[in-house]
Formats: sequence, structure tokens, C-alpha cells
Amino acid sequence: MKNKLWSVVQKIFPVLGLLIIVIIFSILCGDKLWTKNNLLNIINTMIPICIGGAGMVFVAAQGSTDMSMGALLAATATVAGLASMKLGLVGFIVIALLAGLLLGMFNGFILAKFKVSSLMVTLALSIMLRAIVSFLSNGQAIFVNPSILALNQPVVKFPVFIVVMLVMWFIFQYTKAGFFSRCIGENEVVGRFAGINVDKYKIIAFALSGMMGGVVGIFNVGSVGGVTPTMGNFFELQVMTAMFVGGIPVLGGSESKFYKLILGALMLAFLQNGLTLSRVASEVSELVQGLILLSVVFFSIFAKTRYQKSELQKEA
Amino acid sequence: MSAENVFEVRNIKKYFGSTHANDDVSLTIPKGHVRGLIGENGSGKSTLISMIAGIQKPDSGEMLINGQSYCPQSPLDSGKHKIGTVVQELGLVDGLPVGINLFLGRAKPFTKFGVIDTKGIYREANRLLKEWGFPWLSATRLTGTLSVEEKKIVELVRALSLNPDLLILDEITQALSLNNRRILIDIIGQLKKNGQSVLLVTHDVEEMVAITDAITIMRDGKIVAQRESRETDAGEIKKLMVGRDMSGDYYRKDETASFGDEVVLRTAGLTAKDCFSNVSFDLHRGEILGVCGLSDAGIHELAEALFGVRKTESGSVVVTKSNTAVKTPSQAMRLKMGYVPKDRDKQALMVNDSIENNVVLPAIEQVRTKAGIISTKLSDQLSEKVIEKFNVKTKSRDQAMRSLSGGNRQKVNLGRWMIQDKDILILDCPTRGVDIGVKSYIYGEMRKAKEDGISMIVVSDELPELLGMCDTLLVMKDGEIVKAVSRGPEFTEETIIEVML
Repeated sequence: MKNKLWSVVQKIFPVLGLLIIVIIFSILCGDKLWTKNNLLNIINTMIPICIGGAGMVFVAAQGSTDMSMGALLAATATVAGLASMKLGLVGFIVIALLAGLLLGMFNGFILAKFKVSSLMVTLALSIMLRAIVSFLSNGQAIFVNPSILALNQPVVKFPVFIVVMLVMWFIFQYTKAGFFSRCIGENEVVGRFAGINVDKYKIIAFALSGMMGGVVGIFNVGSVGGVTPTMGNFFELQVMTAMFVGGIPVLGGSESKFYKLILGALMLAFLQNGLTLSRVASEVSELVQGLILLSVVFFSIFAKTRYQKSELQKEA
Repeated sequence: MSAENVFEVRNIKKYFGSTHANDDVSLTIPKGHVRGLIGENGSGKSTLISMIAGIQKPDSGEMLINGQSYCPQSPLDSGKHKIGTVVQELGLVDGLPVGINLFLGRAKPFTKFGVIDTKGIYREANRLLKEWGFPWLSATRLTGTLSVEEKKIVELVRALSLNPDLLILDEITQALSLNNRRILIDIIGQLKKNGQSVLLVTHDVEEMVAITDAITIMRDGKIVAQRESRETDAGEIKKLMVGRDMSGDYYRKDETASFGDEVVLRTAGLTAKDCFSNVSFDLHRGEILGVCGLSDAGIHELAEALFGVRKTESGSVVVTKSNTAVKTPSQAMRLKMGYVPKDRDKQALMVNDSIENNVVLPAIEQVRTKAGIISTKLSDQLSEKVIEKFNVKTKSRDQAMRSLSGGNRQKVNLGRWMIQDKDILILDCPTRGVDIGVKSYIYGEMRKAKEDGISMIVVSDELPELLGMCDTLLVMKDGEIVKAVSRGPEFTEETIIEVML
């Protein structure tokens, strides 16, 4: 009986957390939260996290970490932005995607072939990319081809967002890339013994993560109208927070689900927005954000251990 | 109720939810007595042992040691009462050296002014390892680098180091290869002479009858019978265990080898450093080829190399149909090979994942549509088929693997390969840790596969199984094939062991 309760709590916890956040801010902010403009704000916060997460979720499912996404999106945006002056919108998009893909593959290749931790490889790449961005931009904002601003129109942005998410969800749920990523997270040795080319699927996961970083870069440039050297600072941490708060296990595996990413991104977006609306000073807001996220993580771990304990007792 | 009864269990009951794991179990073990405890998977043996070892507490009933009441609070506590246990699951810390693991939680005698004398521990540990017949195992080796067998030996020596009045061995022999099994049998004899008692759990009925003084049989949480080992035989014990007649033998009946002429897999000069060298053999269509050897013979490493999991220095494994050499596991899969590794929970199954995902993992090509999409419908069907065909006891295909018993896990593990369209199956210890009911089932499936023209390479530490099922048996010693025996008059335990040692 008790066992059932914890199993249910554990399953619905991210939904519960989202509901609680929404209810609290509905009370605190009243109608301001539900105006059309504010909802647009929330969605705009959520979109890059979701897109970045749609790629990073493959890496997370394998139990790896991609610390390079923020620097990667800045680098791809810088390179593509510089090229856009000559090549226009299409060139900008193609170069950003390609650069993201290649950088991601580089990550994957190094960590798969040299058997080093993903954290170290991606961190190193992240530092190098930031240096390259500073070098290319001279520490100044870069102006891009004005045609790119067209990407920020809702008629373009939202359909693209939905299509990207649907495609990535499909790949994650119904293709070998997704299935094997979850298997590798469950147990890499088992995967290898069952004939999975583990190295190949690690490279694919990081390539997808890199490419989605490129997509986020494209949208960011679209909304800002240029590239700043600090673009994407700490972005990867936001994506990771969304994933973990949404219930994707830090160690990956079969519990990694796409919907959890979206739940987590919504939670994060509502939280940030609600705190701003409640006129909480920005430094306090960050503190509160951190505390709330910490408690979410604590509670989900608590529910999980409770659930597993009762499971164990049942089995033994 | 006298001093000569070392250990007594009286009316123990243990419930898990509504299931009786132990229902009114009573057991008496006299001094200097070797007792066997046997039963099918899930009959309550391990529960009983975990209560004696202080891992779990009984719901009611009492235990006595040397006539005094005994209710252990922890495994360490049971050690203080001179009960040494080697449990089924490994209980060693991988990151520590062997010697430290031996004295984990018992370092007091080696402590001076709060500083642990590690050198003293290593010295004492090496002395113990040597004394009990394992001088080749060094106390300074890191536990994580040991094989499953070596880890079991460390646990055995740890239990022995308590100088136990009662030594409990839960399915230890299955992890040991033949030579170390013999050492264990010697140790048991020595303990018996000293007036120390042993409680032994194993699925190998023949072995149990040979080693023990008496055998207690459990079924569905109850003790159903007790027999003197001298007055019984394996057949009777099996019958009592299952509760029905096991229709005698479950091995092959025919006395001669039978398989096609066509060679399906050719291995030539295969060499892997420190494991095996110059291994050459041909595998024919519909042949069951057995590989046996002592613990350092390299038989399991050979199985890994055949499937491409282990890198080799020279030589080749060639699938003759397409004349392609096997280099990687994914290539082996494409060449219609299948591989059931030795360590079920660490190498074969994703224990925290569902039955369905575990079935789909090696069979993914079967559930993909032409467009490369994994079909939920097909994977549901495939996992249902494995559950049904291999009689897996489970509520649903979504159940987590870890919630199944060992035997049922093994059914999934084998079933997911056998249900596919494979030409060659490599089975490493296919019946490890499963009871005779499941065993006979697995042998049946292997016979069926053979009739369908599937070739199998069976690597095993259990000689009777190999003799019972194989057409050809390769005997390996120190990494080399020393003899190949065909099913026939020479196919006996004596001849094989002679070559093996």
C-alpha cells in the first residue's frame, strides 16, 4: 500500500512540482501571469531550453554530460554570423547547423576513442570555444545580416520549434539512436556484449547535442539581431537543470523520457517569470530559484529512495 | 537440545507482503555435520540463510547456537557468534585490496593508537589465503581486478577466517571451476574433522549428494523432506524438490555425435595475450560444441573473443557462409551470431530496465520497420512471445528485470536470442544459477535449436552438462586446446578430467 503511494508520487512528481509552482505564482501575481504577453514571455524562455535539451537528452540518457553547449552555440553563432554578411540567411542556418554537428562529433569522437570522461572533454572544448569566440569577435558584438531577424517572427519561430521537437522526440523514442542511448545509460557493458557499437552511438548523441546547440544559436541570433561574446553563458546548466528537475536521472538509462525535459523546461520558465513578476530583486530571485530547484531535487530523490526501499523489501 | 547440536532453527516464519517466504521452518545441524539445503529458485533457501546471517530478521520463531538464543543484528554480529557466511550476491568492496576486504569491520586487532597496521593485515591475509589452499591470490591485489571466481574465494576465506562453528555457503560452487571446487571439498572435509559444521546450498544435486551428510529439501517456503545422503540419490532429491517425477534424465539420449558436414564457423590460430593461444577448430551446422577447462584455461575469454568482444592479437574467426572475419560484436550480430555471456546481471541484462527492453536490445532488427522505426507493436509482440514461449513467470512485460528470480532472468536472457533467426549461438554457462526445472527446459530448447540446424558453442564449468549435451568437446588447458573428444565411448567424466588436470 505504502509502496504503491511512493511509486505514484515518484512518477507524478515533476507534474506535481510544476502545478505547485504555477499555483503559487497565480496567487502571488494574479492575472499578470496569464496575460497574452506574459505567456509569450514564458514560451520564449522555454523554447531554447527545450531545443537544447532535445539534443542533450541523448547525451544525458547515456549517463554523460555535455558542458559545451553554451560555448558551442556562441561559437557557431559567431562563425555563421560572420559568414551571413556574404551568404545571407540560408548560409547562416546551414553553417550554424554544420558547425554545431561537427563540434558535437568532435566531442563524441574524443571521449569514445580515448575513453575519457565526457565532463572533461566537453569542459575543455567549452573553454577553447570561448577563446575562439573572443578572438573572432574581438570582444565586441558582431552584427549580422538583417534578414536573420525574420526568424524571430512568431509565425516562423513557433512552427519550427514544434517541428524540431516532434522530430527529436521521434528519434529519441523510435529509433536505434534513442533506444541504444538509453541502453548505454543502463549498462554500457551489456550494450557492448549485445552487439551495440557503443562508440558510434556516443558520437551520434554528442553530434545531435551539438547540432541542437547550433539551432539554439540560430534562434538566439534571430532574437538579438547580433552575436555578443557572452551569448549562451551557463546555458548548458539551464538545460541540465530543466532535465534533472523534470525527472531525467543524472545517470541516464531507461527512465530518461522526452516529456520530462519539457516539464522541467516549463517549471524553470514559470519559476523565472513568476519571480520577475513578483518584483523580487534579481539577486534574490536567483537565490530563490536555486533553493526551489534544490528542494525539488531533494524531494524527488527522497520519494525515489523511499520507493526503492519498499521495492527492495518486497523482493528480498 | 544438547551441546552436540551446533545450530538450531525453530519454527521460523518470514513474510513478504502476503507471500510466505519461510513458513514454519525448523532445522537442526549437529556438530561436525555437513548439511545440504536444496530447493528450486524462490523456495526460500536464500531467505532462511539471510536470516541466519543477520541480513534479515525473522517475523517469528527463534534460533539457537550452541544451545543459546541467537538473534543477530547484523552480518558482523553473526560473525561474532562464529557463523561464517558466503552469500549469493558479492559482498566485497571493489576499490579496496583483497587483504583489507578480508578484515573489513574486524581491524581492531591490527589497530595501535588508532592507526591501522595495514602491513600486518596483508601478512595475516596472505597467511590465511595460503593456509586454505589459495597461495596464488595476493592480499595486496585490488578486489576490483579479480574475476567473479576469485572474489568468491576471497569471501570464502573471509568466512573461514572467523574459525566458524557453522559455515554457510550459498551457491558458491557454481562460481568455482573444477580445480577450486576440489579445494573447497577438501576444506569442507577438514572442517568436519575439526567438529565444525557446514550448511551448503547448490543447484548441483549430484555434487550435493556426494559432499553432504544429509540433505534438507525446501519447497514453497516449507521444509518438505530430509534425507541421509548415504541412503538417497540425485533422482530422489530432484523429485522431492520439484514435487513431481523429473522423468529421469534431461540430457541427450543418443550416444553418438550427429551434425551436418557444412562448416559454419572456422577459427584458426586465435590468440589473445595472457588468455589463450593458437585456438583452431571448425563448427559444423547443427553441432553443439562444448568447451571446458579449469579456471585459468581461458574458456570464457575464448567465448568473448569469438563474438568480437575481446580483442585478439592474431588468428581469425571466420563465418564461412559469407566468408567474413568477425572483428566486432556488431559485425557478429550481422553475421547471425548470438552470444549469452557468463555474468548474467553485469554483462547480459539491464537489470533495472523492463523485460521488454531487455528482449528488444539484441533483437532490435526484428522490431524495426523498413523505414528503420522501432515499432511498439512489434516489440510488444516479441517480448510477449519470449515470455510465453519460455514460460517466464511475470505479471507483465513492463516488469523490471531485477524483480524476477534468477531462473526467470536466465529464461529471458536465453529466450531473447533463441527466438531470433540466428545461425550460431555462443552460450557461456547457460544454466548458471538456475534450478533443475529451468535447466531441463533450457536443454530442451537447445535440442530443438540443434534440430533446426543452429550451431552452438557451449562454454561451461559444469562437466556433466557438457557431456550430456555436446557433440564435440574441446578440452582447454593453460589457454590451449589439448584435446577434442567426440561424443562416443570416450565421452566420460574420467577421461575428460584426466586431460584437463
